[in-house]
Amino acid sequence: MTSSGYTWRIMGETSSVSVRMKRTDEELVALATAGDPESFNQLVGRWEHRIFALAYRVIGREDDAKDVCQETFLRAFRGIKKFEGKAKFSSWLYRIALNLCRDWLRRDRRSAVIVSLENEEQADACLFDDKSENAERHVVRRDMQRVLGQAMSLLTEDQRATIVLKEFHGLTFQAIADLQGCPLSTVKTRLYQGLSIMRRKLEKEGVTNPLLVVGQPKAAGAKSETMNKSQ
Amino acid sequence: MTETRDCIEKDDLVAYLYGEVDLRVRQRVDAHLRGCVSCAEDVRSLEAVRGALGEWVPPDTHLGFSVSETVGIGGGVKNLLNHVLHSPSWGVAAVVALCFVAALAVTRPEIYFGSDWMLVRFGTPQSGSSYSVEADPLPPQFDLESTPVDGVTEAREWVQRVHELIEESEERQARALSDRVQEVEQRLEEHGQAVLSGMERRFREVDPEEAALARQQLLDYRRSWLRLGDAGSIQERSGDLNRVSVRGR
Repeated sequence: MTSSGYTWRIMGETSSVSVRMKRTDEELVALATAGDPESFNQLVGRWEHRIFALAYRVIGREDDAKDVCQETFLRAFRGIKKFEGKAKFSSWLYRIALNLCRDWLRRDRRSAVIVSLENEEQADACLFDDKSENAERHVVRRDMQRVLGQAMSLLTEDQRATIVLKEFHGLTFQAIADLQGCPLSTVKTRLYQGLSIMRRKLEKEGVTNPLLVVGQPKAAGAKSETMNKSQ
Repeated sequence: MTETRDCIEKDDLVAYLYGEVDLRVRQRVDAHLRGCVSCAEDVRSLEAVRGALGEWVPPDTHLGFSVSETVGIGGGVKNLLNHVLHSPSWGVAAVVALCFVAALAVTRPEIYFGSDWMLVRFGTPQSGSSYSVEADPLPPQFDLESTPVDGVTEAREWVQRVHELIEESEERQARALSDRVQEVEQRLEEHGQAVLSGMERRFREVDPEEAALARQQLLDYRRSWLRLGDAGSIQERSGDLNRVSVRGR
């Protein structure tokens, strides 16, 4: 893909970014806006895995999630000069990615997060990367992935995005409301309804007890994959 | 789930679940959960769902996106090439198809077929050049109808030469066959002489009169054998030979 004299492509390792002096997102955005593509590449290296994870959990397909991730940064690069800095850079990226996910889901009326046999095999290979995991736990995790994928597919697009943003990206209710352009109470309602639907699905699949085995319930207020890790 | 008038609102319950409540609300929810089994079960089951979600990990995929600057006029071409080379195979196929269609539009080919010919015409009918291709044409020296008048003599010489070659071949074959027949006759003669000599040696051991008679019969038989053209087949002659009997003493 090309944009204004720049080539957008997948390159090798970008580990060289990490040895440089740590700058904030805002500083890097300012440098990128001034025409420094390397600063933008640092932003990409900082956020690409989280954007990919967001897209993967909303869409449920690895290849499509990668496409959405790449398109997100391409659009961000093209529109970096229009970014006014009123919101956080990460929120801006999330908004672009969510819009792309929504477009992807609505195009051809695709359904999200349906775990096919092929995806199960891929997930299998992914799960077995952890050599220390014993076979029994591996099977439990694989079944859990399958049931979770089915449960997520029962949710509406907004419920799914809300759960993903809150559960995996640690956004505040207010940040999610700003992203989705809805009242705060709507975000909480979507979250409660979404979790309840998933709870019923998990209970129906008989995996209520394994939940307590494979994953310890988080304490109130606990966050995972929070945005703070990157800052 | 039963909900009483005093139960916690769902919004507060969700906020409590994620820790986004102030101290006053937290204390109120904690107090309520200690006395309300229904809400306590609600919170516990939602926490279990959250725990299960922790197992939902995306694949560990390599991304490594980055931008790189290209400068100059050639950059556009390079970008295009990079784009094509990194695009899916259908993209390359589409480019190839586009080039093919463009070539057709420029050359405007017209193709005509006949039983033994094909005509390809390029360009406009007025100014275009055309190329004719005959399917499986005969060698020009044998195609007398299509050969120019100046080539008639040359074609006839070729035909004459072929006839001569055929005659030479037939003569060689006739000579070879004749030699083979003579060779077979000679071998038969040699074989007959050998048989006759062997029998004469046997005759000396038997009665002289019978031997003379038998020898005469053999000589007659041999004459009849060698008399080609006379009536009788090899089988009949073999039967005659079998009738010659030699008694021992």
